Amino acid sequence: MLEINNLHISIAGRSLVKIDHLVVAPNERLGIVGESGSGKTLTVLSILGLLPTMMKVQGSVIFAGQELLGRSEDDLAKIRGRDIAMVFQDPGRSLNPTMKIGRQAGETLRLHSDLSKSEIKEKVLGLMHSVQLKDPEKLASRYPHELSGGQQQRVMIAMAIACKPRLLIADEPTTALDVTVQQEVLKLLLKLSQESDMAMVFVSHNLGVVQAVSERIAVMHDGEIVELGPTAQILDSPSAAYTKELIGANLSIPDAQELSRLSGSRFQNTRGV
Amino acid sequence: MPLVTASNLKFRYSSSGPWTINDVSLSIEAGTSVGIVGESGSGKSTIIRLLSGLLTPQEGVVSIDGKNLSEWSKESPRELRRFGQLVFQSPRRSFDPRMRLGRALSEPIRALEKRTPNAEELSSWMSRVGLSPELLDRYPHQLSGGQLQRVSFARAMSIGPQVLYADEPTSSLDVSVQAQVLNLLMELRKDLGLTLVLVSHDLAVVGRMCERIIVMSGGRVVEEGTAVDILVNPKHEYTIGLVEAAKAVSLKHEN
Repeated sequence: MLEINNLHISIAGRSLVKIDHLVVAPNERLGIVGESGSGKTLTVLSILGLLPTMMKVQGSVIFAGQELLGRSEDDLAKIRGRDIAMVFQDPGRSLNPTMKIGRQAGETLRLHSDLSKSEIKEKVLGLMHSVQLKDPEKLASRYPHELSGGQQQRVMIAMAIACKPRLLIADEPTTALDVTVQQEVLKLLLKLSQESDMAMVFVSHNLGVVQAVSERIAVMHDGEIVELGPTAQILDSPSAAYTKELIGANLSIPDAQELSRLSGSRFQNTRGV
Repeated sequence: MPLVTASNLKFRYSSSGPWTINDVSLSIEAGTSVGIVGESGSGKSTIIRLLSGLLTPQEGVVSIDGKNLSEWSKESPRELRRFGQLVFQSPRRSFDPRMRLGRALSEPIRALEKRTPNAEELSSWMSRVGLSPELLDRYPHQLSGGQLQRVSFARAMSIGPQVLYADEPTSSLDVSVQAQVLNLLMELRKDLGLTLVLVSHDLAVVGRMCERIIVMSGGRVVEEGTAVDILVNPKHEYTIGLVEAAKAVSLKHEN
């Protein structure tokens, strides 16, 4: 459904991203992992033509048979939100602070559908319900700052899925959230993707989070994909040195055995006070 | 006798607002490493600001080695600063962007010891945290986040504190850099005989660094115990939910 070929993003002659080939199949959930500066966000922003104009983008990004690179802003605006939707890291900064939640959540529908005002309102409440927001009617009349981070991100997801996009790009969608909320939002994204046949490109620095939602993982480092494969293969038998390093650096919660080993090695103070 | 004790602390940021810290009592033994975990708004960052004397509670008492902190703070604020130092989450926001790192690193010694450290002393601190002394001439924006956090540790350690309060010291760093900074913190603790109070939302980090864990929620301590008590056999409903959620998004692999 999405095919990236020879994508090259650069700024002032300096290469930032170089991807030879990357494909996302219909209904597939692809995770992109890497550290700061690895190029994962630039890659997904380039798909929707959201990079700053000072960056030079070359190559080809084909979505459902159509070339996206080089398309006019008007053409891309028709695709954004309707065919490909995006959820960003910080919901607090993605929502318009001066617009009530209900009106804001209906924006994509106003832009991409012929529904009447009352139909949009009804649909928005249904969407808010489907992202498990409690009391949608009450929340619809609130401003973004009156919602918690988890509620704001659910609103963003509701907006993103409003037009039933074929591809959802989620860039660190749970990084700003607490761990219990993070788990709920991941479950929700997984459920929505499975139930509505929506492909997903999920970007995160956190391997555990990517593992929870992705069928395949692309590992990025210094602007290039250093390894790509099924999730279990990448995590259980990585071949690239960088992937091994990244897996080694991801800390998991120590179990009883590891805690007992750690307690033996932890320093006990003898200095006294 | 515990090194730091808090008895029935209550604190709120505005006189009519809700209690951010609501009747918290805890004690920290000398030489131990204690983790404070909880979600946003649980009060974990506020509690270390109260324990270190950056904030004053509206009710309750903090005692340091048997002395009342607020009295100590009035009598000899410098000694209090020397006793406990803080390292914050964002190293970028912990440095004056217009001040070279050499000057920034010498500030605690200038303020608390009323002397100017020589180049050799500053260089040895940079080497101690694994950085080249050449970086002393640079400005904060010229260093990476990990490098800058190392300078934060050097700056905090330079006056020989007994307690280090670290508030999410690795949360803004990449995972590979996080591991290096945690190793450095572990080494410093061992070499300098520090008591460590580590605030983090990350149970994996706290589980590795701390022998005791305090769990906070809604401004209260809901559970405390050894790392095994909290991570393997949690009792309180909130702790059980927190540990389960963290495990669900924690990386699982077979090597």
